[in-house]
Amino acid sequence: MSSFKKTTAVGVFPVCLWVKFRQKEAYLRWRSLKQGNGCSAMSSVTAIYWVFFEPCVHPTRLVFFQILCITIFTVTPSLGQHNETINYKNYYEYDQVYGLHKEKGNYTLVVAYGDDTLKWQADKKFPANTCTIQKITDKYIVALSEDGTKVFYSRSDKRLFYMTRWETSLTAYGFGLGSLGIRESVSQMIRLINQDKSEEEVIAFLSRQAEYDF
Amino acid sequence: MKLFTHFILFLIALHASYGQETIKSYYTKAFHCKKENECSAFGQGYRQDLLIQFNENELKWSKNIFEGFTVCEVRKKADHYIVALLDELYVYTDLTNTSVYYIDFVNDNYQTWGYGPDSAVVKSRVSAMMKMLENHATQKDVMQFLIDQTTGKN
Repeated sequence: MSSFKKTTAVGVFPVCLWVKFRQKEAYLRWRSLKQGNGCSAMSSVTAIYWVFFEPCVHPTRLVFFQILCITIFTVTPSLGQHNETINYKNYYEYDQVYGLHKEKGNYTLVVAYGDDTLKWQADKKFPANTCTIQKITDKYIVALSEDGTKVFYSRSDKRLFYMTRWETSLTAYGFGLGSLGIRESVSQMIRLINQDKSEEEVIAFLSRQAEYDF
Repeated sequence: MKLFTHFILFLIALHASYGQETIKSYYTKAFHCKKENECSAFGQGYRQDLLIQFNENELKWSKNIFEGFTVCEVRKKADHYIVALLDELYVYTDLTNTSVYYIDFVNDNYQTWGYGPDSAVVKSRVSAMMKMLENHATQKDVMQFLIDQTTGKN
């Protein structure tokens, strides 16, 4: 869900809540609580009142409640979440049959990851992908996509690599900062596959490259 | 007024050179490899200055006093070496042997170059770098090889 839709949804949520609790029954319940009927646990009831009922019976405070909801709903999921936006000039695809191909243009790679999920989109015109993270280090992330292929994101170099099978041939893709380094890596990925190396060995090669601290 | 101007110029010069180290070296033969078996020496017969200046962020080096400095971004600096980057191509400076090596990419092929006082060492390293690149090693692998050579791991 885009951030705009999320913000709108969270903004509408308190309004719906307000309409619901604006009903007389809710109001009377609040009155009875305020008058002290059955209020043995007053502190928790007061907390519930302040969070849910107060904005309902005082529409002017609804705005503050909305702001509170939007803040909570937008900040909480982003805790521990990393978002990276990388502008790059060209990307490479290397097909086992058709060879190396360089695509020039202005692209934006968006990568978002937490502890479990890696979401990425090579550009606005490409589909977004969600993968399950298998390994995450300071330098790189290895994730598994829905179709079972591995995705490698080099945090140090800001580059993303993955391989996919088109009919009988494999194609390696590389997106992100730089040109020569990506070209080197996709070429090496296909070379390793042509040597009957496994996907794990390709990932090991990419990990080794990302581990270098220069 | 003249004294004041000199003082200001002195301050500017001091500021520009702050934290910067300069190494003066030389070479009589430099080496260049287009392919593993296509290495050549040049600059024979006379001694040429090799000037290396660096700080934490920038490496500048000049292989000829008549040419300007090549300015690179420092990616890693250690006591014995500096790894720098110039337009995605790596430059390696061996501070113990006061030599400079770099990789070039011409017509879809890598080339390697080396300058330094110890011709035998430079020749063998430039040749080894080219051999690695021809065997599909990456530039980073080559830099790691040079680091291992400098630090004595190889």
